[in-house]
Amino acid sequence: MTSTFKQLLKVELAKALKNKFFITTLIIALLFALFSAWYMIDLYFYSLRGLSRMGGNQMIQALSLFNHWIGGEATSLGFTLFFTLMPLIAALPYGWSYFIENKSGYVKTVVTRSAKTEYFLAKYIATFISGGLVILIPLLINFIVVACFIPAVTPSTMYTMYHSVYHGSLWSQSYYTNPVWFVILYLILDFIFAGLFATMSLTVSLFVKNRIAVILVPFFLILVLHYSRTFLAYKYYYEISPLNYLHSTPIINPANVWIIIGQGLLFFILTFGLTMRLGGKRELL
Amino acid sequence: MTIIELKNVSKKIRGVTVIDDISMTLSSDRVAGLRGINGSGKTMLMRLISGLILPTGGTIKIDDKLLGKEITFPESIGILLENPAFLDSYSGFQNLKMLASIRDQIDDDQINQTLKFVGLNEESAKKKYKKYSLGMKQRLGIAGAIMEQPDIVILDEPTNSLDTSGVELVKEIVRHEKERGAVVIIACHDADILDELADEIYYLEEGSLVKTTREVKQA
Repeated sequence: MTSTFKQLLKVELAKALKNKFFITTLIIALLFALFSAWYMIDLYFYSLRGLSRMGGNQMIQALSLFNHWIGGEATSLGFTLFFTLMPLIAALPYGWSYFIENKSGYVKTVVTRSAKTEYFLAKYIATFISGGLVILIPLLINFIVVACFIPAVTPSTMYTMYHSVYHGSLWSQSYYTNPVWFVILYLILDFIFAGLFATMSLTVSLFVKNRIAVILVPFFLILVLHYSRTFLAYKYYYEISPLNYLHSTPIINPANVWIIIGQGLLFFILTFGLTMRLGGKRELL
Repeated sequence: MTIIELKNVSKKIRGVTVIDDISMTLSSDRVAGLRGINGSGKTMLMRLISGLILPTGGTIKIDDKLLGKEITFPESIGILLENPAFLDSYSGFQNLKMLASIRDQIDDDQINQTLKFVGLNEESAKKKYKKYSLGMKQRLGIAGAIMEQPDIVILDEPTNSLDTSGVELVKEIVRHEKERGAVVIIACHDADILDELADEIYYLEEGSLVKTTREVKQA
């Protein structure tokens, strides 16, 4: 790692994380996450009241933090907004930055102080981290807020119908034995995919000449992938839409770790490969 | 001593020749002026020397190092190409500091000195770039090009948007950069300014070098 790259990365990270788009998007994502927390906490106490009226079994292992936090529930509007709009939320903080810097000519003053490959590598890393963090922070805060009200009872297979993780679901063994580890795995997964969604905007900005399109194209590409599932109905068993496998409540099909790894690698190879190859060779007119 | 050597340099963009067979040698302590109407190839030639675009024919050497092969950009260069470009949400000082931090060669005091030199006082330096007037933006652009005391200084229309005092400032800066030992390349529509500042003027027409000052004087 050259000294100019280290400096450039510091500058890029500062620009990516200290800009109004990052803050605004983070606030919006936080609102979705807190909206989910509020709804699920309310639902939990409603369920408790209902159970207490019936007396007898309190079903402690059915009502847990792990099926009430945003990554484990699929009922609130906050959940739907957060996970459906995830590719858009991830791209908003910094996915547009190369487009703006190229259009204004700012990129020229930067690359002549370093190198084009260093510039694009720093830009890729900063975009990835900004996209990842804008999703990770609300998820973490939701988890902490929900944990303040709902006990972190380890889920029991006796109450599987109250949990969305079934036999064959992704990391199901962890869910019923070490659910905190299960949550950490999903947080890592969401951070990585949100980062990749953000870098899709960076790659798209090498081809597209419109700022709005730069932000929207990755979202629509993921929507195309999401709805292409309908063509595979009854023919293919596993989930192929990130919008469905980035939380632990797959709506129709169970998630498969190899499909997730494969898609993640494909997204990475396409975004990183195209950005570095085309960006490095690009003439700056 | 920095020497820039262009040998039979040509550039085609989408099949159109924008620079056609240009050869010239530029060296330290000299100010090279580029003159020509809009679209004559001045900015394109500056982009080629900056390494931002690569020639489709011929070679450019900076201190005997082949641009695009041995080096991707000149090792020490400051540029102001067309309009100054900075980040709107940062102040003038923050913008320069961010750029300077990449090479990490100068400290805050030197940035402040450069800002003062180009006529941006402490208050202006703290203002966000988006609140700058056109003249202030131009001054900041010039500051960005010269703050690290590069070996090569490229100024494309540096007097754009500047008032009389600003134009005088540009003249002072160009003289100062020359005295410091930099190769200064300047393009300017104002013939009087170019005549006053440049040691040699290169006339461009449709991407070709048609004559130099020396030839004009001989004629």
